[in-house]
Amino acid sequence: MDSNHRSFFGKYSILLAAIAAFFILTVSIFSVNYVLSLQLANDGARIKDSGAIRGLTQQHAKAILSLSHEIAAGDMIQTSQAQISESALALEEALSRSLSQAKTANVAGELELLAKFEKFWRPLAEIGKTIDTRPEPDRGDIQAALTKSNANNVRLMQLADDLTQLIEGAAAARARDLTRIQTGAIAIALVNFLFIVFYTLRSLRRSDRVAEIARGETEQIMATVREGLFLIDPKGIVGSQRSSFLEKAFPRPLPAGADFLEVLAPLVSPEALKSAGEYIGLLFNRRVKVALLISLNPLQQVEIRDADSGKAPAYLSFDFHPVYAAGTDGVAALLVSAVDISQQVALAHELEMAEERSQTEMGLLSSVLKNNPATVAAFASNAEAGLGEINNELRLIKSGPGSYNMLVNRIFRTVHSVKGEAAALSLDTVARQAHRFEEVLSALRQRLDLHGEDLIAVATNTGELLEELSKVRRIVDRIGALEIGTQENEAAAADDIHHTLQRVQRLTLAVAADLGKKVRVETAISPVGTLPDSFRRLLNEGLPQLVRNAVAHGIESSSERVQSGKHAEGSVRIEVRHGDAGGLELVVTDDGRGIDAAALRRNLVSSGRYQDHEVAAMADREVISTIFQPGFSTAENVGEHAGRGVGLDVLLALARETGARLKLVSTPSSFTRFILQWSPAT
Amino acid sequence: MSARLLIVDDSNIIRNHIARLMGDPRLPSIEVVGLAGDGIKAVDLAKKTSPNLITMDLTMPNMDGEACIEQISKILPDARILVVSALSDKSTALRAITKGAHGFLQKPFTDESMVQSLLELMS
Repeated sequence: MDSNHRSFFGKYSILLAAIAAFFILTVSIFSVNYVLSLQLANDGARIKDSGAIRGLTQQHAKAILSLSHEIAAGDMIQTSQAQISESALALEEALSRSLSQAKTANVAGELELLAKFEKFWRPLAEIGKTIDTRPEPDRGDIQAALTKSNANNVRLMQLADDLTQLIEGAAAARARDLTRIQTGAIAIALVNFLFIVFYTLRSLRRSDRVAEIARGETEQIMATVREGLFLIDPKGIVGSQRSSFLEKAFPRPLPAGADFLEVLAPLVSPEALKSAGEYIGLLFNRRVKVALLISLNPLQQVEIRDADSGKAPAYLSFDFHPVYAAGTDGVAALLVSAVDISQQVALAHELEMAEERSQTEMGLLSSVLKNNPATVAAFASNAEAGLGEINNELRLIKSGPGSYNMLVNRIFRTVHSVKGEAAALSLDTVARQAHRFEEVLSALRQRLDLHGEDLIAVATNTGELLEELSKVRRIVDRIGALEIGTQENEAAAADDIHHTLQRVQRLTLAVAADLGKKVRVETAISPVGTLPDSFRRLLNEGLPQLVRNAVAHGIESSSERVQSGKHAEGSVRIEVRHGDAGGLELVVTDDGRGIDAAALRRNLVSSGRYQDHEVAAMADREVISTIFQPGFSTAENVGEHAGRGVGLDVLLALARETGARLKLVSTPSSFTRFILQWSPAT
Repeated sequence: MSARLLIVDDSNIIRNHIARLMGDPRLPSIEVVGLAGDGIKAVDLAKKTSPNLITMDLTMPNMDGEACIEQISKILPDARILVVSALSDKSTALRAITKGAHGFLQKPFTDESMVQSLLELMS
């Protein structure tokens, strides 16, 4: 506050001094005027007195003359006597007044004139006293008075005239002084006034120029700054000053006087709007420390959806800076800066994706390294070939009753195999993509009225799955380049069964863990030498389906097993052995619930696949063979491992393709065994 | 008046970590008058120890930070409260501060940010 005062007085000191001088001058002029006016009034009174003295002198002399004539004529003398006495008395009073006033008036020569007057008057006054009171005054006294009066009267008259002229001269001089002083003072006042006007105008012009420059600079800043800047007051009302960029940064007009939150309301989520209201309220709250709230700003990065503009959603960042009221710690307004950060957000998103991709590639790499790269390469080739065939069929398919449905079923089996094998090889990204593809296909399989356009999604998903597979292939290729060629062939041959069994074991345990079951895997492998390609296909593509089926459908939950007197941990046994006539056999046995023909019959009816009477007419063998039909499943929930009714039909198709026979042996509540018999003759 | 700090957090590790930070030379002398692991204990300790500084977690058993701030700011209107919480839910933190806290520090925090926040809180 003190500094404000200082600067105020500093800034206007000259103006204030001029105004003070004006006041002093005015007061002085009034004072001088007053004093001179009093003196002039006094001069007037004295002129009047001196005039009276002259008149009274004449009256006194005239009264003495009258008295002498009256005495001579014997007339009454009382009137003349009274006139002598009265005029003398009045003259004495006027004289005494003039004397006392002359002392204060201090006019040169006035006192001397009055003294002379008195000198000539005094004897006349004394003689007058001797004749004015007696009833019969002495004739000698009257004669003496007359003589004296005649002798002094002319002189007294002259003195009274001189006195009048003297005072009149002094009064005239004083009046001239007064006029001069007044004229001078008015001139000075006028100069002072002109100075004040000039100085004020000059100051105003100067401060206007400074304000103009400041306003120009502010306008330049506001026109150039790459942020949308504006102020909002404690009621949330938008101020009139804003940067030009605000129009670009903010998707809606933000007029002065508008309620900021009301304008924002249609552009952001209700949650963001509510939080923004609370946050802005807190910034005006003197209790909170604004510096400790910045990280809570709900509009630091906010998605703006302007439905009216039809443009893509943008991301804005609003920063709020408190503007403190001068001299207090209260927040008078918030300076809001709005910046479009859509590009930064998009960039951050891309970075995130790239990071995710590199993490996925790392995951893929470690999966490939866990397996034999040759096995992974073989899987990728098979899968790519299968999917390539799908692409071809999609291109060539002709519409016809059920043709789309048949194609979808065929694609489903391929994708299901890819999924199973990918899971066995721990190629999670491929398995997940295949699972998504399966979900699309399974929705299509529910429908009987498929059209050409329904297959667009199939083509897209085929492309996406191929993309995942190509990633696998790239990694395998890179690893392959590092490996020594000769080692690859021999090691791959020798480790075929070993690697396959290892991954199948992992798959079995993974499926069991997912389904919350406890399973033990046993293997019994006879020395079989180099594997023929078609048997290797059975191992790579068939075995995963068999163990998945065993764990998902065969093995019961631990509690179920314990209730039926079994060990809590189920067993899946995998055997590779010599068969008849130089053939090979792949056998998978689980000690689970077995296949119960009666339960199957109920399932066939409840699922609506067969009518009561149809099932009743079927032999157990026929009932059991339905599990190899496409779309058959007994699992209640559709998951990644079971429930889609695919698996055994794939197996059957595989057996046909590789020239193997598929045998099934099962005892309810005891075990299920699948035997794939492969013989070189076929 | 000397600074008296109450530390409220359901994590023992964080409570002790904040308490240890009070030896930082940048901070004025701050006496740790209590450590509370839940809202009810915090209100109880606030009554008994009259702290003028409080660091407050939001997600706690028995009574959450929001309710705790509301009660403590009634008992000790002059106590300054710093909400120390993860940013998973900004609106909860904002609501808590509306109930009577003075500032917010995001978890996980650095020693530096805690010291600066406490200095700001005391300014």
